[in-house]
Amino acid sequence: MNHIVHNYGLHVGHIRVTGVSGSSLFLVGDNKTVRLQSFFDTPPESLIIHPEAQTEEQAYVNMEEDEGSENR
Amino acid sequence: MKAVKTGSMIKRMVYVDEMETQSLTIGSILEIGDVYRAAPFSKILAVQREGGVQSDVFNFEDYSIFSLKSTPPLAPVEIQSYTYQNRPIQVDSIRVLGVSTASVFQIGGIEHINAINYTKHFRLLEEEEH
Repeated sequence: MNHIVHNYGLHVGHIRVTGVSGSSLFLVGDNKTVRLQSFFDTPPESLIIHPEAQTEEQAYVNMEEDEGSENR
Repeated sequence: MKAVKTGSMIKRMVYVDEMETQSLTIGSILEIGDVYRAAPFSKILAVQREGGVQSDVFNFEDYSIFSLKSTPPLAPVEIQSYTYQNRPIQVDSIRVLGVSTASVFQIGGIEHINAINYTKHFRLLEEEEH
């Protein structure tokens, strides 16, 4: 296997990141190996999605008469 | 920001004109320059107790998540490669609001990264204790 890399010019304007969290990586540069691990446990109470108040939806549908039905 | 050592990888030059970070918390790293290895580590017990927390002592050993073992690392992939390092990396501006919990924000080359985080959230209620 013949593997050749050409690192041509890399110019980046603006980078905006809100958060780098929980054993994560934000890297500007070169790298060989990365190993990121996170063990996370949170109670189910914080994951329960409360049912929304019932909403009533209204829709109108116009049905065109089927012209072909007369030929039956 | 360029390290050329025998045996270590050749890292490209990195130019960053402007950078801004608001917070850097819980075992995190902000590094400018070249690094050989970074291994941030964090263990967190996030407790919410009904009626407020006075002075409690919690042991990591009491929660099974902290004794979980990670899978062994994969065998390295050895590929014969040649890299032409002819141009630098240029970034005009970087804005990172927060870096948290065994994370790395790095400007420059880094050979090896090994970050581990253990986080356990739980609640203690007065009526029925979980």
